Amino acid sequence: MDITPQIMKRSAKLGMGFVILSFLVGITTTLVFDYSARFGPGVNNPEALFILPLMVIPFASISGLLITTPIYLLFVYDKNNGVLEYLLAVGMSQRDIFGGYFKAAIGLCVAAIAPVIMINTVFLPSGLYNTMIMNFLAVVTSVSDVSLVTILTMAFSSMQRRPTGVNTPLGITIGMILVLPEVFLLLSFGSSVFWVDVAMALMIFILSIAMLLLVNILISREKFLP
Amino acid sequence: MLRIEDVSSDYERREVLHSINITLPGPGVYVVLGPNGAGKTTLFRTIAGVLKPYTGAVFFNGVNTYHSNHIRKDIGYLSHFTSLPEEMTVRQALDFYASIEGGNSESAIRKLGLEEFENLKISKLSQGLKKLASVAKIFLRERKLFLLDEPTSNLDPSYSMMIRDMMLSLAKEKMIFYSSHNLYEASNVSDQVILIKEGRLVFFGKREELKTRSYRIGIRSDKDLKPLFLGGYYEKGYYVLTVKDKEETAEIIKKVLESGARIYEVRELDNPLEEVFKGE
Repeated sequence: MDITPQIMKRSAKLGMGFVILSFLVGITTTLVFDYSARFGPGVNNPEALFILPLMVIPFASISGLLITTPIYLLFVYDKNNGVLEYLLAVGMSQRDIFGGYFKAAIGLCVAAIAPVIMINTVFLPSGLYNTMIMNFLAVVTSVSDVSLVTILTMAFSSMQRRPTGVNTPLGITIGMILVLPEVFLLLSFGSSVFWVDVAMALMIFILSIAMLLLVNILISREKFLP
Repeated sequence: MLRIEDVSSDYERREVLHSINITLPGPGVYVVLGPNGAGKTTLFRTIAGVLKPYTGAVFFNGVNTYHSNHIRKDIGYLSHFTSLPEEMTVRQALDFYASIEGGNSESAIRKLGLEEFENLKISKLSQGLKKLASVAKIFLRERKLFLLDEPTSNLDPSYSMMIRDMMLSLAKEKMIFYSSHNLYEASNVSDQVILIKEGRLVFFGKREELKTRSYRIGIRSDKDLKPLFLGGYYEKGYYVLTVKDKEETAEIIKKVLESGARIYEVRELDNPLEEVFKGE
């Protein structure tokens, strides 16, 4: 029983505006920073050449978070109209349900970063090795950020008692605050940026997976009822 | 067999069901009655394994329904929420659930007569059709136990009758829990009554065994019945009498017929189960 493909489809369909915005942000910012690194006024400045490609990473994360926003709303909507209750009734566990939305979020995030990777590969002036590193950083950062924000938002949303509560945006906000250091501190770590970023992404991702694995214990089925 | 053993359930530590014990031996329709807030929905959720009882357990065919994901597939659970993604068409919604739990949307659509509406979005359907589409999802696959929380609410009389008939036909082999606010309907569906008040089981047995206060019946006849029964009065063409139970009604009918009068209709003007809904 895997609801991931259905959640991806429903989310993309319901949140088409978010999908468009996400691709627009990802593609535009990547083009701007890659172009600036290649042809901008700082082309002879080593610091600018280092920073500009790195700027793509936070925007790739934002792009990933944008495309997954409808998933958080879909989770609340499904809770409020009894879909989650029915999924429990047909034998799914809390973890199965969270996992479905979680994997759908990761899937959409990867789809949003794909054009960023392609543009980077074509336009980055810093050679194949550096480009691959940049792309790797963009992927791990975005995926880890999306995973933490998704799991936190769903956890907060499921603890919402009233349909009109504000737990969903609260979850998104707290998730964003937690991932912001990863996104922006990488600009302060000079040449060790790769390891710092990968370490932070790994920690965030492990935390998200741990929370997902513990969902059956941490969140009772009652929290999924309308 | 369904065994509800000393079940108490709560929402955020607010106890709703208190030590419920019921054993249902086999197929049949069991009507769950009780006033609003009595705990009927909580009982259904607990049986369905959706809500964890904080004491006791529910066993269906010997398996704990909360702990076994497998046994929950044998249970068709209809809550009073439609539980359908509103942006989907009827067909898509049923396919969505069929992809999760298995089964066939085609047969469910046909069974509920939804062919005409299968390509309409759930959000565009009337409340009654939404309910019908919601009922369809419990017929996606074979079930052994049906938990139907007010299955006929929002349905017009013809659809209500269709659902009732389906349930009665299924009840020959399956176990059906049925809650309703419509007391006449409840009386028609089954004579097995589970009565819950303030989260406690107050009665489980045949409807006849449920002690009720007197209620009124109306008789339409071709003769004046006043001389036969002095305590009655005429109202809207019916001769109205107050009786204690069905036995007394049978006696009255017998007496009317013996007098040579013809009976066109006998009806209950008050439902004997009505007091169930009063907070007494």
